[in-house]
Amino acid sequence: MPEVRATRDPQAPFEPHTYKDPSLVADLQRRIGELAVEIGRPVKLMHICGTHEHEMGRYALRDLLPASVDVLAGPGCPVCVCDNEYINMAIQLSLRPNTILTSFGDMLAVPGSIPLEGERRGDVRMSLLDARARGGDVRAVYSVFDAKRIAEQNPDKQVVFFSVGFETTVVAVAAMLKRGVPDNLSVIEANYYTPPATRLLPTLDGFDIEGFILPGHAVTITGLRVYEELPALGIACASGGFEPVDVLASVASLLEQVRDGAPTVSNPYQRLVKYDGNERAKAELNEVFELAPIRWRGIAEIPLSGYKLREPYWHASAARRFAGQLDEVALRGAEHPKGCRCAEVTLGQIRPDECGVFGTLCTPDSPYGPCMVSHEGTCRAWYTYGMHKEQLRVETV
Amino acid sequence: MCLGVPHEVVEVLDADRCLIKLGGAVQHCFIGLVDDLKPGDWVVVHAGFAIDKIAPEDAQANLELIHQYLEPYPSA
Amino acid sequence: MSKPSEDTLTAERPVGASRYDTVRLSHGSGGKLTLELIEELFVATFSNEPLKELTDAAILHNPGGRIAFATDSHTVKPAFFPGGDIGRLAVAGTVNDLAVMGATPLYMSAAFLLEEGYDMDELARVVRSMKVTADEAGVSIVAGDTKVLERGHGDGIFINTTGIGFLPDDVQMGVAFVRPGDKVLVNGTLGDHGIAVMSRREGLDLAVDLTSDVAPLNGLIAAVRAVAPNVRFMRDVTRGGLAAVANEVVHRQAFGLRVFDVAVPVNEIVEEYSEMLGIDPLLAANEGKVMMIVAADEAEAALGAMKAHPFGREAAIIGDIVVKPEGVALVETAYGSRRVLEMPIEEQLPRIC
Repeated sequence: MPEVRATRDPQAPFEPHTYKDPSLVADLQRRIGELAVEIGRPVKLMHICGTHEHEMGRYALRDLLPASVDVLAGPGCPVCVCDNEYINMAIQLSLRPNTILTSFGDMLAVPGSIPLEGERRGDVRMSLLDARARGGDVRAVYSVFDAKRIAEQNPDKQVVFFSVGFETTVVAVAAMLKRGVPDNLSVIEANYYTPPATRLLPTLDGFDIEGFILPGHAVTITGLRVYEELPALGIACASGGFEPVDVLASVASLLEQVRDGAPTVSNPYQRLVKYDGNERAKAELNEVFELAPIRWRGIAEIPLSGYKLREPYWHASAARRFAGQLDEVALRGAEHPKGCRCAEVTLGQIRPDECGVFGTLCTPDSPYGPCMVSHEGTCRAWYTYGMHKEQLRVETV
Repeated sequence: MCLGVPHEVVEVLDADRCLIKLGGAVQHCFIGLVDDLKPGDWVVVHAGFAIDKIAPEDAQANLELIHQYLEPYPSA
Repeated sequence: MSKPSEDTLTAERPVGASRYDTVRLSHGSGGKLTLELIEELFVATFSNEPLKELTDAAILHNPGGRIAFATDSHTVKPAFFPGGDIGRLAVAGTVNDLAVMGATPLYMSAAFLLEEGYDMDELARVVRSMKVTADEAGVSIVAGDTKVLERGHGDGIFINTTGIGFLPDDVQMGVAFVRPGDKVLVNGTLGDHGIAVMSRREGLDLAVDLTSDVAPLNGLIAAVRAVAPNVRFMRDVTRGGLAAVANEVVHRQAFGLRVFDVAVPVNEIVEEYSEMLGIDPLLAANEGKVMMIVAADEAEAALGAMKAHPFGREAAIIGDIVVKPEGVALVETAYGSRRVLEMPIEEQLPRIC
């Protein structure tokens, strides 16, 4: 894959603000408009990263795209795909005596499938915040290293880290476990691996996505090689960083590929992403974790799409450590409340407003499913930002 | 969600730890997954650890690449 | 006008109050120990005539006009944080609630719920901080109450402050007076308090000392109104950040509120931390900030008055009131794109994964 070599001073200091530069964004916006005209028909693209949805919302990047170009949110929001089972496990462990449950903040408000007793609306399911309100020791942490520190500071308690997220996040857990952690620390293995889901999507009815914006930091770890199958299926791919310039460059690259009928895996996020990724990170990851089947919430169990600890690290697995003490039936639980169509939304098959409970029974205040809870969930984004451009047209005096 | 922000390395403490510049002060960062770091290098930090580094020549090349997208050339 | 420094707060405790190192249940039971605590800590520190009388109620002079009345309870953890403490917060919070109504705050009560075992030195520091802040604001703490909760049944210290201010009859402000074309101002950088407090909470081991912005703003507000008498609306920006206030203003109104991203003042350190944590400074808590909606032709004068004041150096005009979209608060980004400024729903938590 041809890479561009620097023609100016290669030792010039890196300027992060470059990738926020409004004039560069305006140039890319113009270019994307030209490409859309050249293509001459609607094009649907998809990203598969919660942070991409977050950035698209934060900078209203869809506002900058022409009407014929649509960027859908795919199954990249870790909050949305994390199966009930792991949330239920976290809730049960948090309510266990002398146990501290640590988690990234994103997961605290997500309902699992354990019914919440005593609430007026009968189908409310418990979240970690509900567990905390009922006496569970639930603590938000910024990093897995914080969980380790909490374990060191509380040697008489069990400390459990609810490890959610994709490739980028699981790598830190691997590195930490490899370097040794206190005995009282264990991990709920709820990390997901993206590429198998992207291979599942084209097999679904009505799939009409022509290009994927690849998650820039996940591919920093794994490299781009793992997405090579997709162009063979006619799907364009481009690595996407997270600054406005990076997102638009990725869109531009995808549109070029669509226009030329020449799908490939391109690398607009070249400053960080290498074709084979971060070898050191991959090696450590592979030493501690292996790929295994895992259920994507409401979707399916996908082979080789979840990270599970290898045998030498089984002692750090919360599922194994607490095996006899968890209510196995409650772990599985029932599925989404009736009417919730998060899975179809996450796969890009329906729009949020095509779900019967969207905005009525399911709102950010009282969400049915993860797509409405998570700030990166498609339904939440639609509810919050989903006004059409007309409605956000500003009129002054 | 892979929120990652670039930060400049101020001091390398050992193979696993460094200090990064953060808003006028310094902050610890885990660098066990990135080799050959020196002060002045940039790393992208996610949840307390560096996922990889941005080499200056790669940064420049990235900018060149983006400028290439802005130059229309005839369809293949 | 300066914030209480560590030195003033660690000065000697009043004699007598130093008999005990920690708060006892008896300190709240109304007997000898309670009287000692009141006289030797609260009265001695707050030091004003009505309070010294130690009657059941304070009898106060009424300067005329309408009465503004506000109450707030405080339970911040940790009790001491960079740039402030629960005492300063309690006084400034109620002062600001009154001041944003256009009232001149004068009197305040302070009720304490203390947990048995609470450190007496820390209590003295909190009380001293309240006095310093009250003096800055020109208010007297003229009434109070103290109760002590059994160990394990409280969270250290809770403070309720209730304040009275006076509003001249000719002052007319409120959402009803807001109209398209008006400008939106804030007196400084946003998100400082929320990020400062979060940086000290367990689980986030952030190295930087970000200072909270907690401050009484009645002086600044009076200075602005002196040069910009047609202020339409003011509200202090606290929990929920600017986003909450903006949404409250536009709710069910026939106008919208537009914020320009590039115009919003944010401290560089706060900016970096909020990027890292995935928290929007527009939704993060503040404690020394006020949002003012002023007539367009008075905006520059108002801005000038703010910037001339110690609590307004970083003030800025951040947006305006628009005809459409109605009932919506929106942000225009640096790129010309627009997004809805959402009403915050839940507590702000670090978002990483």
